[in-house]
Amino acid sequence: MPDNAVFYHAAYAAAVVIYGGYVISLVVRSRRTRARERRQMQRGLAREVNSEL
Amino acid sequence: MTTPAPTEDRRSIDWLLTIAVLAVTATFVRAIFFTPAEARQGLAQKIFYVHAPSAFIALYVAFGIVAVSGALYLWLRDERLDRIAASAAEVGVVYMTVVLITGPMWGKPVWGTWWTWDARLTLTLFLWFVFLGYLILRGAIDDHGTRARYSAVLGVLGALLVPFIHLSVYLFRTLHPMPIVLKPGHPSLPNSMLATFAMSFVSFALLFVALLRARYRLAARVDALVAEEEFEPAPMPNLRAEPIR
Repeated sequence: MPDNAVFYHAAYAAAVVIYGGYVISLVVRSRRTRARERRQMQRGLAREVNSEL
Repeated sequence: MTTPAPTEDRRSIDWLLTIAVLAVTATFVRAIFFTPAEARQGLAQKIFYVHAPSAFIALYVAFGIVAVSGALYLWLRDERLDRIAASAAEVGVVYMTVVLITGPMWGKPVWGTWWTWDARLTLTLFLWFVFLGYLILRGAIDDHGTRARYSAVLGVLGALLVPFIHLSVYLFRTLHPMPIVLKPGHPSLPNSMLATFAMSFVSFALLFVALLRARYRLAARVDALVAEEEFEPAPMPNLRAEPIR
């Protein structure tokens, strides 16, 4: 049997890095969106308070 | 408008994604520790359990969804279809990137070369470029309707490469192997390898569904934010009374 384990280890590592990196990018983008939603909600509340005053 | 309220689904833990990641991890453990190595190709054959399911899902599922959703968007103009197409394209490009990286890693020890410009490999690379262009196009256009329309056309046209890629191993002389599982008659894999392949196929399909769902939800939240920001009143200018002269 040929000794080529290094290629298979590298391929599995590459797959983990790419799929894992994409999952992390989704989590980061989701957190950024959540922060944007919070800021928008605060602006909305501020407008409501101002209009009541 | 079909955009959901921005408060929809803000959970940080996605249960489906968690299950999918665990399933892929279990597949890796089975492939590495509990599946025999192929006698002639050696351990490099195990790359097949990552490469083949990723290729199948990217080609037939992800880019198929992009084409069907894009065509339906051009007909119905429902922005949910545009969101589905964009999400499937992004996840499809990720899967196809794995295919294009793991393929040469199998090719070098088995073929003796990292890459060859034969029909299957070249068309697959072109498809990857087309859908990378699709994502860049979406990022370059601000107007929602124009972006959705242009990208739907590109998605439909890009997916036309898929049947050529599928048939390339039959139509042209190519180094790429013929299908060994999805073919008429019995698969040419022993049962232990076939079970690992089935497990990897199911787990990568589950991961695709989880990533598509997460990406779609993110797109829906971003669209809702953009829609609300467009309707926000502009801030009042600071009015200052000029002294009367």
